Amino acid sequence: MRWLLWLIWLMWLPGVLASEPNSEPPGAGEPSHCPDCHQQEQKSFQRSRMAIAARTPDFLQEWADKGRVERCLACHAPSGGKGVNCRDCHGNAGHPYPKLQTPQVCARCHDAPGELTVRSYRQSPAARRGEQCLDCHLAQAEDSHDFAGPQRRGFLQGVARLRLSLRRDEGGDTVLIGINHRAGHALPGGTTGRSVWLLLDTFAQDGRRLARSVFRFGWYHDLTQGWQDETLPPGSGKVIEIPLQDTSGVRVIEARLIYRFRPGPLDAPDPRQVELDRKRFALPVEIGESR
Amino acid sequence: MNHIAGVMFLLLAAPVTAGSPASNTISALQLMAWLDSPDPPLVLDVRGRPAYLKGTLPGAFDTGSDPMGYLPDHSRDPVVLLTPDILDPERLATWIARLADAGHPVWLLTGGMSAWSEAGGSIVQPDAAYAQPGRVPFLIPRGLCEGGEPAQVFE
Repeated sequence: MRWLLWLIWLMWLPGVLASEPNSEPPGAGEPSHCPDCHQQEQKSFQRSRMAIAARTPDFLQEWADKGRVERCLACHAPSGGKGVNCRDCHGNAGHPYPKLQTPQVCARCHDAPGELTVRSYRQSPAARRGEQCLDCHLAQAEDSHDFAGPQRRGFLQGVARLRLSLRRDEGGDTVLIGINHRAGHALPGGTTGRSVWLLLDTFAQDGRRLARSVFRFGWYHDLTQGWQDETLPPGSGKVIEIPLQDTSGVRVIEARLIYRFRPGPLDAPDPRQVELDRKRFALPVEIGESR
Repeated sequence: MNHIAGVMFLLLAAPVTAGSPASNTISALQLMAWLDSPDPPLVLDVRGRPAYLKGTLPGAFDTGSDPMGYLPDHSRDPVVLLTPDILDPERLATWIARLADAGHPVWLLTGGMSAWSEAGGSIVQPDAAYAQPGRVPFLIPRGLCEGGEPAQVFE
């Protein structure tokens, strides 16, 4: 009798899974026969986030939270299925497929609502140097389609750097911080929830932290002016002046630059966050004692 | 082509080093190419606060006009000085010595701001474009993609 109950449960289970509110978006998936001949391209593409753009936990969670909005799939799964497929970029014309033009082909989604990556690229030193999207995001063998982005381990290494110095004014001391990055577009690129945070800490001789200032670069919504873009522009980056309210006892200034994938405030855990750079500046003794 | 010109320039010229009384110069066009390279120099605006606020080079630090009031780091990054049209040679020498002593190769922008402007270099008004939690009322995105509104700002 028990085996009969098990059999009924197994027959009922697929229907339960399909009705889960967080279930994956429907779609036809990969309809083409491209992999029959282009095995290497297909295999390498499967390693990219684009191949599973409609199946990542981040997407599924946010898509469900926002009521499974259909237009999200225009970029996350244009033809249905797990993500982007061959024809979404290469078209349906058949052989011989035209050579794709970058950044135009990328702009379809990377300048879609919620992004300005390609737009900021067009104004960048990288564009003036003649560099293209694929120089960084597909820097593999020619037949590779293994598109890499910031979630790939090591991709963000060395992408940004801090410069730190101090100006002594009559009214007090001011920390000068320069943020430069090598991305060919605004940092963070990608969608609007990503952010870069600057933390400035001051420490006493014994290592005690005396104060912390926090700055966020990314998109934010001003209550009167609507959405504001405060990402780090490519090229000259940003210069920030931070007056030190009280330098008594300060011996070390430390700046850290952190890239975060999760939206929300800094105290929301983000296990994937990456420290882009860290600089320490030891003050001469007389600085801390003179005020 | 700009970056190639910048690299060629760097190969052909040597920066000022500690103990060298003569300054090495860089033209506005050469500096533009260098700033467009993946490893741009740090521009130090030593003209003083009023001139800096009126307009400066992209990414420039306002060091103040007194070399003894500026504490450089020891990163050994190359720096380019943006000086006033008329600068006391002794003060210039102090600037160069102070930066070179901290390990920075030092360059001097020929013709200063007017040459930069004539060459078509961009001039920026220093701003404080960032969000500082706790200081101003604002909302940061709750999700990774905010329904298209940000992009529409730029349409």
